Amino acid sequence: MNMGTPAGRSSGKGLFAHPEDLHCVLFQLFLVAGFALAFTMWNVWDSVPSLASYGHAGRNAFAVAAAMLLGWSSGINVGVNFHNHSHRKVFNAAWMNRWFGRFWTVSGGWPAYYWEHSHVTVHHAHLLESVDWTLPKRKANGEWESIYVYALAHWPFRYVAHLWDDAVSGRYGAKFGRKMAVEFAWFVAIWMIPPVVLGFDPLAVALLWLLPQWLANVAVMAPGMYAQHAGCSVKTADAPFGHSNTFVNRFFNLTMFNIGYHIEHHDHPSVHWSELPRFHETMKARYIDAGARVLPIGYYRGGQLLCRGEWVSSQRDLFFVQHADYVRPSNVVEAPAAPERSVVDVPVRAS
Amino acid sequence: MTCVRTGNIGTAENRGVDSSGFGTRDVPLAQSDMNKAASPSGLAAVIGRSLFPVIALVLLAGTFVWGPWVTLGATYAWWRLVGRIG
Repeated sequence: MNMGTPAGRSSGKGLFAHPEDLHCVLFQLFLVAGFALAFTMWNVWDSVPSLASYGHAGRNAFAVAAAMLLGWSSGINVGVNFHNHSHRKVFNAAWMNRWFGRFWTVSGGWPAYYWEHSHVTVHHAHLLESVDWTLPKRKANGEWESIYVYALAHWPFRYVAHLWDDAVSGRYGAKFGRKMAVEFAWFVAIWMIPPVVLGFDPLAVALLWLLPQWLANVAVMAPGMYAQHAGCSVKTADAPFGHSNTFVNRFFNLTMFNIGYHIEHHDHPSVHWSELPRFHETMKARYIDAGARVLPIGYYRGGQLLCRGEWVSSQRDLFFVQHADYVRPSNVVEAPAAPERSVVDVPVRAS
Repeated sequence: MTCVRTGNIGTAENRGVDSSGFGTRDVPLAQSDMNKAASPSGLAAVIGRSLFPVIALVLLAGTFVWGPWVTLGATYAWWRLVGRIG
């Protein structure tokens, strides 16, 4: 029986900590290439006949399309891709993890260290507790605020306020505030590269650099965060899997690094993202027995249903429709809750 | 039989999670020793997992051929399609 090795140590073999992590890096490289292409096309628009013929109205239409495409990918890149890196490092060398990370999150409008702090130190450690300020606020009746309010308010406004409070409060140690300042300086230095490339053209910077960051947070990461924990409650012995929703849509998980397996991720964050589908299979019977919420959709469809559900309740109800394979049989007698364990050994089949 | 040692929610393992080079993780975690999960490989994996930035590159580069308005329309159509199937 092999219990594995500490993830915080380098295996000392190769560039990547896990062979599948190559795909995390490729995603980032494709995205950077997309930004480079968009910046270049904007800069040469008037000198390329096939582009210049569409005039500046056409150039602006191109920039809006680029903002949607690149903002969308940037949202995935931070909220999913860097997210996986924040739990399990991608490279074996610590300096590569640090520096790749610093570049990784900039197009999503985040200093890497800030996002990591928000996600791991706040969200994972205090999931759905009152101090988990990454999630939507609760109304007086206990329900979450509107997905629209959350999406528009959380970035950058609430995050800035909470991160500032964390930095100056001293609750994370004397060196935390200084580290926040240093990482912010690196973020600004990297963040300024695109405006320089675009010659500080205000319209270009607004459409090709600021708008993608806004879309990444408001239209991609916020609905995803909302959907992951919509209708959920703090983990208890009676509801051990009620803290998150798991989404098993194949297209979604193929293209989103298996982020849909969210109950699994929160309960066992050290399981590598590429192993989550198989890990899910080992947990499937327990999820069915415990009534865990497993949905047949992905975050995109889910976010759409939650948005429409603000006005049409049946659309919100559709979001919560359980996957047919995960409906608990009605004749099952509820088993007593298993005692809490800090570490679980999950048997899996050896190849 | 192999086992995966996993950090449970609310435990120090969960809070400590990992080191990504910023020095925020002080709790060593066990690394999964599970066999490679059933997942796509080769070109399918590259395109599948990087589908969104690859589509972005194709649509943006295609502007040279079909013009910006088609790019904008195709982007909107892609956005709507994923909202239905994803």
